[in-house]
Amino acid sequence: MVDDRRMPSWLWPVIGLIAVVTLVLIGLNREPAEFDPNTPEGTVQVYIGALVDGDFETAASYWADEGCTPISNIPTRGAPQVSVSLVSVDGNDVQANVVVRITENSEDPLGGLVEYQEWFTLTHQDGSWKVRQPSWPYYDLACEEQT
Amino acid sequence: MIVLGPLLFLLVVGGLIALGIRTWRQREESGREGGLDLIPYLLMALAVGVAGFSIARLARASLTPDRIAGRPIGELAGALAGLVVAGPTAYLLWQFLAKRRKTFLRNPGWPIYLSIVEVVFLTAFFVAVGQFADALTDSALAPRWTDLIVYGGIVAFHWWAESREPATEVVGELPRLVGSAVSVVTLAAGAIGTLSWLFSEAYESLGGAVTVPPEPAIPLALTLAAAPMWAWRWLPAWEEKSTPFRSLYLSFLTALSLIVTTGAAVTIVAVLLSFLFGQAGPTEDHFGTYPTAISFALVGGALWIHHRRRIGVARGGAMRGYQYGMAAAGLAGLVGFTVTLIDLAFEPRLAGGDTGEALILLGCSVIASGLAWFWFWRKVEEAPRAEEIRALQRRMYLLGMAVTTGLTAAGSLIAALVVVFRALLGEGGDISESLRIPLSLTVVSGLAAWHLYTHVRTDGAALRKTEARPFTVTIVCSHPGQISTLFPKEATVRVLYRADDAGVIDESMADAIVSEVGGRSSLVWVDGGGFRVAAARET
Repeated sequence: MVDDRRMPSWLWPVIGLIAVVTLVLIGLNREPAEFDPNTPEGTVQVYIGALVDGDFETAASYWADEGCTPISNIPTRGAPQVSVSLVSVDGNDVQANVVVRITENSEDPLGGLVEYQEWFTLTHQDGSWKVRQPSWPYYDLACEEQT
Repeated sequence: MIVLGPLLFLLVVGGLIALGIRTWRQREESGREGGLDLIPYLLMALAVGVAGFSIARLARASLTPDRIAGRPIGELAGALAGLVVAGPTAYLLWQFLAKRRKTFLRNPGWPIYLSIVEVVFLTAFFVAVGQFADALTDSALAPRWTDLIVYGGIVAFHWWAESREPATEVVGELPRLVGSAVSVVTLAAGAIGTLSWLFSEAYESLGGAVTVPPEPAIPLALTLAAAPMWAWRWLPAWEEKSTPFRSLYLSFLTALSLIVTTGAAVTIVAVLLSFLFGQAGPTEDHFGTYPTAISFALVGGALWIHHRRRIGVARGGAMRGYQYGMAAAGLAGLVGFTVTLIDLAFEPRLAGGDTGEALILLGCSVIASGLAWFWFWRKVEEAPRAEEIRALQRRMYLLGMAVTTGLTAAGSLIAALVVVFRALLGEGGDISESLRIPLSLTVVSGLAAWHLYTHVRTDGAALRKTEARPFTVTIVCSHPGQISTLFPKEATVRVLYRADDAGVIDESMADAIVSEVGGRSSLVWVDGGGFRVAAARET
């Protein structure tokens, strides 16, 4: 049986429109979460934040001095224009893995968005977390030869 | 600029959809014959899917505190582009199809649409539940609560819409069955994961060596979320008369749960036997598979008991599907495990690698498969012959398995002959090693194919014998309904109408009469108390 006390049919689209506009406004004005810089996820946040801001010197200060290291502080494609969210963190007091989801705007107007996950391996050195063997965003690496 | 590409694409697609609706409307105005409406419902499912995932993405980008750098411009733009086209399209299609449903009440497009939405968004909801539980137990991650609300909201909205306009006809049960299937699979996976963790912890505390699965937050959350969903979709009463979809669902799930239980039980027994026969390593390591195996056995067993009871004792489509499904699984297992056992038993070992434990496991698997096949094949052979040989499930079992085993035997025979001819043509050496698997597979599959083929022939002959004979059915009733369409083409149906209204033949009575007549010339008397069938003298 159909209920006679139905809401007018135009009300649903209007409610939907208001909800969408509200969500967009919230999304545009919301600041990223703040993680403790002494944790692996906080270190990755500061590191990526420096890269996005084009502050490559600060980013380079978070590199661990072991394994393969970039030959230049400047990544091959310059500052990445991305938004990054956290996927997972695991590890122990010595080493940690932080997985993030990176959303990169394609330069091609028909290309849409490129979404991918990146793994950051961090090692605890001199009382702080350092990014080991940085592979993002596109550094040329030089590796020490094993003797 | 980033939104331009997807927006243009979606506008073109939206335009095509609008054009499709307009054309459909014109067609409706010209002939109001109804039809399936399948294309508009599929388009609506697509539009609701795009709109639903776009809303989830928008809410995630705006409300979930998991962002560590940058602004979510790309996500917002992508979600908006999807919503701009899919939102209005879904809304307009919804309004348009709601009007059509009032005119054409039995349209199967509606339950098909509800089923698609249910399978997509209920699955998305359970994935979101798992992610939420994972985030709750990991201090670094922010729970994505928005996904739960959006996907759960879409599922709940469609349940509400379904309750207002229940789908009818055979396909009307499909949304509930789809919801039950998604929920019960999630429930089983969650329960197995939770129990496995629990038993592993217990086993470890008793001194056993086992890899304890990580925290049970995800399986526990899935269990708690899926249990009420499954109860809501599956447990309420169903129509008394089963539909083919429900029979398929019941038979598949009952057979699958019994296979899972049997597999787990075989593992448990084989591990115990290998321990008793001294084929084991250290005791604390040996029973490491028990926590997982016991979990599978318990959950599979519980599911089997419940669904087997639902099938009941009547020999309907569900019972046949279950028994023939189990016979097929048993026969396939028997062939596969026997060949593997022969291979392992005769494999020459150069050093180390005691295969005793594997041989015991394979031996148990062969016995269990053989018993399962024998048990269910005997059950179906005990069923009344005339009805059984017409059953679709039997034909599918016999023909499907005969073709599969026959092709397997032929393929393995070719492989064996290649080895033989190579040896005959001068490429000598010991060929027994290369022949072991192809030859054993040829023999075992060939035997199975021969057994099945003999039954295909016997059934065919019996079918021709019963089908070729014309017969006459005389029915005395007040309203015959559609009964004449239910008899096979060999039947000549004569109806003698009663003057009163005491002999109405409804749908279920018609099925029962056809079943009882069973291809013989008969006289059928229908009155207020039911019907009676008497064999007529052949003229």
